[in-house]
Amino acid sequence: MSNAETPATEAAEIFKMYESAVESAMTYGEKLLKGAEVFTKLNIDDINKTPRDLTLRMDKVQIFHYRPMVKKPASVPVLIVYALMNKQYIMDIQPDKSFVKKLLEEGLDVYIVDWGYPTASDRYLTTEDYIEGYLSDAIDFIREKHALPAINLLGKCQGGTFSAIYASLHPEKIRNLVTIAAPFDFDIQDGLLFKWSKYIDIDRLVDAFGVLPGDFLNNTFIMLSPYNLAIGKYINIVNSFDDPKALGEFLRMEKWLFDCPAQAGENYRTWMKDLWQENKLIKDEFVLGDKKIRLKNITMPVLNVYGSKDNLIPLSSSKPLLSLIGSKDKEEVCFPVGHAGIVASTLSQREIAPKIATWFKGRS
Amino acid sequence: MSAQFYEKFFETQKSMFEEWQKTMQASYKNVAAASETAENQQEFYKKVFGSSDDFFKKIGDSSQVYQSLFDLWKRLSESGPSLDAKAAGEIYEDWSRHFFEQLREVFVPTVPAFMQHFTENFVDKFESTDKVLAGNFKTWFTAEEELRKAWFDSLGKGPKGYVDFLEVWRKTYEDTTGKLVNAPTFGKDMDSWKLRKAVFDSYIKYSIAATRFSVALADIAGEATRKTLDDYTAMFAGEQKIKTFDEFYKYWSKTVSSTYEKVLFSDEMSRLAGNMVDEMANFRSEFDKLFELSFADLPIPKKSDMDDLYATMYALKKEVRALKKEVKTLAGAKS
Repeated sequence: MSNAETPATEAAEIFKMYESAVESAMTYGEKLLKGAEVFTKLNIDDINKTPRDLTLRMDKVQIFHYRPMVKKPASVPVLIVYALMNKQYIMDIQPDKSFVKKLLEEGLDVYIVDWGYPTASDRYLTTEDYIEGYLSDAIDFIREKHALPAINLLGKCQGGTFSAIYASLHPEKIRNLVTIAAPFDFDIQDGLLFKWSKYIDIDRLVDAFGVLPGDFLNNTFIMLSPYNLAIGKYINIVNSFDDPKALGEFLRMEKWLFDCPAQAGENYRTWMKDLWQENKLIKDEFVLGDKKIRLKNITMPVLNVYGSKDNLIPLSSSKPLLSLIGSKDKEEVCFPVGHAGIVASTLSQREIAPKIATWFKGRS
Repeated sequence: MSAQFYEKFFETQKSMFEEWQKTMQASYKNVAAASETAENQQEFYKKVFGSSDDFFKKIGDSSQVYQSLFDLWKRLSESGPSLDAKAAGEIYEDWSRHFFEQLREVFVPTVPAFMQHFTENFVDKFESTDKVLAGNFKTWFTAEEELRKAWFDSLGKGPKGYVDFLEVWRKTYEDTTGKLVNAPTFGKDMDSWKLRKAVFDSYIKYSIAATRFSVALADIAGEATRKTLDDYTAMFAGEQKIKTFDEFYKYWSKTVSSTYEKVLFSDEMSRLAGNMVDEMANFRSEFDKLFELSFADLPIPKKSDMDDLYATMYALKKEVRALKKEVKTLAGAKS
């Protein structure tokens, strides 16, 4: 319809629409121009910078000890075990959102596992090597260093599953166990990765790649929310181009999201086939090396933490843990956060880390 | 202010964005060369985005999608009172052809980096039917008419038409070239020829699976857009109206996201995703085998040689670790 034919009111309405569009386009343009200046001055090298010392190295795996932040830290140290599929520095993503820093401020003595970046030579590493090898050696090392029979274990995501498996095999070496957003039941209906994993020929994939490229995981995670993660967020970020704080937070998170390490093939084969596809862990059918895993053997105090907005590991997968273990002192707590936000958000600073620290201190 | 003025303004804004993108990319390289700090920062961006160029490309690609949506909204709002379901449908059909191309550009990178150029090359070849039919696969001449018909039938149907064409293409491949490719091999270079054929066949199958998956992703966005348009048209006729582009974009992106959430869970999408991964793995295996055979006579270790070495290293490391523990236990028992 031409302007001449448009009634005056309609024309005025369209004019108003154009006006608002032009206005927002101009704002968009201004943001881009200001963003050029913000970009050149932005400093985001404060990721993973809470003071720490390398205390143990095993092949590519490193164990770091954070320098305590209180005069008398808790006598039983905590070892944080992160997933193999993402990097542990999400727990120290920036000073004002550092989960680790908060635990230190709350008086804990903290160690962390950095699994490293597997390369082609790591293709034969098995799940047993990770749990009964690296993790077990790290725990023994810390126990000896502190002359303690048992230490505290805090596992996040896949690290939580690994920690629970270890705790079931060696309950005498673990004083208290905390799991955060960790998968236990893999036969759930509300997790996309859980659904898709059943349609993939894992043997074929591992045989083809040997070590699974980190790229494969990056792209799989994008598929959880393809529009938002591949397009939408890059449109929205332009609105924050002139805000160094928001842009800095965006870039730190981008670094972490696209930093998935490659996966040692044999471990990936077991992890995906036995757990994700066949759900053996909660059925007492999972065998690690020559040892059958029974979660009922977990008898130490356990705190299970999960997020109601977690679309990667939905709470339906994390929640069953307490019903599967033998512990008498067990507790679960749900927070309205997602998979990353559970350890890297304002809420994690304000409530989640303090809750975990208090829980550990009350039992150490 | 007239529509012409607005278009001119938007064109200027688009040029400005492109210039900004170029300036950022160029200046970023200059700054990086100028100081060590900046070099570190460049490294950081490389780590985050592949390269700093990629980051600006991501912003640019997303901006294209955004702008395309703006064009759609502009055409809808220009329709004024004459907008009804039929008119909205026509606008959508016209617009969706370009939109699909843009989405595909964004989604092709969802396959691992080393596979991307295979996918892109395939898509390029795929679109140029003359090249495919006359150049690469001569045995297809017999099927040319059917394929041409399928191709022309698919035009204007958007992503779904593309998949229909793909289906005819796949069937034709299996009935013609595929038969030749999978026929028994014999003769002097039997192993090499057999592998070449296996690579070709797995490449075709992977490309089809990857195209199907990315088309399905784009199709979901198309369907969600269609729904947004229907809602927009209904709202236009009623009291509650979407007044600004910002509102339109928010409504659209919310609809697209929620549609993805629903559809990705379907058995069909799960099968497509699984099939793409399986075919990717097949192609990778065949490609590696051919690669090894091609370089067998060169004085360099092959992947399989290295795997043997890694297996030995792994076994030895494990043995050393066990022995160390044994020594430690024995030493402890002695003291």
